[in-house]
Amino acid sequence: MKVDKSLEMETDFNPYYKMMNSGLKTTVNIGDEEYIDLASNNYLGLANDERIVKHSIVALKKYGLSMCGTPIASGYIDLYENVQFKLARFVNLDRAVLLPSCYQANNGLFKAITKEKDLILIDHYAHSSLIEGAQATSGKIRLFLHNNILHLEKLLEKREKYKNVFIVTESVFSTEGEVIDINKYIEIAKKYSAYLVVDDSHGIGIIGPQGKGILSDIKTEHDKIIYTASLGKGLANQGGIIAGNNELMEYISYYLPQLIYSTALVPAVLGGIDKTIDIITNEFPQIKNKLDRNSSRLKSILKQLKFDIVETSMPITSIKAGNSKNAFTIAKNFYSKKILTTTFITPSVPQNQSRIRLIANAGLREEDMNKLEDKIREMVL
Amino acid sequence: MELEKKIIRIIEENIESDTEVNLDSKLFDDLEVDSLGVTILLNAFEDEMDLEINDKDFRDIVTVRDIIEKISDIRKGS
Ligand SMILES: Cc1ncc(COP(=O)(O)O)c(C=O)c1O
Repeated sequence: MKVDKSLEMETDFNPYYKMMNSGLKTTVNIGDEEYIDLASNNYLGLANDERIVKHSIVALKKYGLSMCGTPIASGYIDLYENVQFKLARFVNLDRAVLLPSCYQANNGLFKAITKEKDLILIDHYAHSSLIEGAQATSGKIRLFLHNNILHLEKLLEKREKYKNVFIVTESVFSTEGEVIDINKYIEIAKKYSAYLVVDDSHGIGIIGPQGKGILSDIKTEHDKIIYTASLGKGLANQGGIIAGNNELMEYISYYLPQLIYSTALVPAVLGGIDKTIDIITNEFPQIKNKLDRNSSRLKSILKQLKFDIVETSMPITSIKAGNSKNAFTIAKNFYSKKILTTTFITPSVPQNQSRIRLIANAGLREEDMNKLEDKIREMVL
Repeated sequence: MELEKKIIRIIEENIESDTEVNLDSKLFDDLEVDSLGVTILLNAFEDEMDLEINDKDFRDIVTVRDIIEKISDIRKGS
């Protein structure tokens, strides 16, 4: 068991585990230097919102550090229940179950709700938590080509042998910023009486007219939608949810090991999520405006400078970086100009399709964007 | 010949890339198939050719030609 360090040796750079000694403000500190953060998923720039921090402290003071118990045992406080209800309403579903992370949610979901005779059809590029979760079941798994409805339907046509069918995908694929056509997936799920499991980790708080995620403007109802999302990205907190119809969520609340055998989210986090939802509900248009403005500006700077970027309407900017070594080199160039980015190389993305992802979050002010532009221009000189 | 054509068609329909597939195409380098992509392909062969495939037999494949050989062997029952 040894980490392959060859890329680091070749490029004299390692983009991973960069240690910061500050939180996410408009800049972050590494050593004594300030870096512009284009790496985090703090899309809305709320990770250091004073109102949220304050609310989190109120919860911390009221309940203490931890309930030292799992939700089913002694970890279920009124704040926990309120946040679950609030999140369910926010994403437009009957009921939500709150977990310590979305990785846990996705990882446990399939084993809890599928049986041997079930079929799980999962997008080839779905997040590892979904793929590993599906692989942990005794059901039959088939991968469909990425966001390819025709391929999915071809697999669905062979479903007779199976009892329940689950179609599994993400709302927004975060390395490319690709958004699925949710209505098409719902239509297909209905046509084949299948469950649709959609991970909205990069959609919640970010897409939809009020930031309520992928289900905000669906055209038809489907009782078999299972929704999951991370609360550590746009919502700038921690935790994961599974949401859906009442009966299924009640079932999950008793039978999902990742929930019932894991210490409940701590009060400070619950307080934070609670306030974040209020802020997004009240201020989404203004926040989204800033996010879009920053993101479009970043995209146009990079395009002007002839970077090859992936086209998307999402506030995600991905530079096509070719092989892994090239990706490390590009990330290193940004880093040398005090800009933090995220490097995706194989196996996170297909070989030779490495990406450098940049998220110009809503918290960056005009002067930060000016500075960013200057630095990127200097970098290519 | 027929078998070759059929396998090439199945590959074309079950990979992410639009690259043209020929006998010498390398799965990983030319067609950009990753490890889960291999699973998609093997499943497609099973479904469309009515075969039972043992993933282990396909571990060392490099080109499309290698796949054709393996599948011919399976069909011959060797
Ligand atoms: C699509 C997707 N699902 C799930 C997760 C895991 O979420 P969490 O960080 O809450 O465990 C992530 C990111 O980390 C993600 O991008």
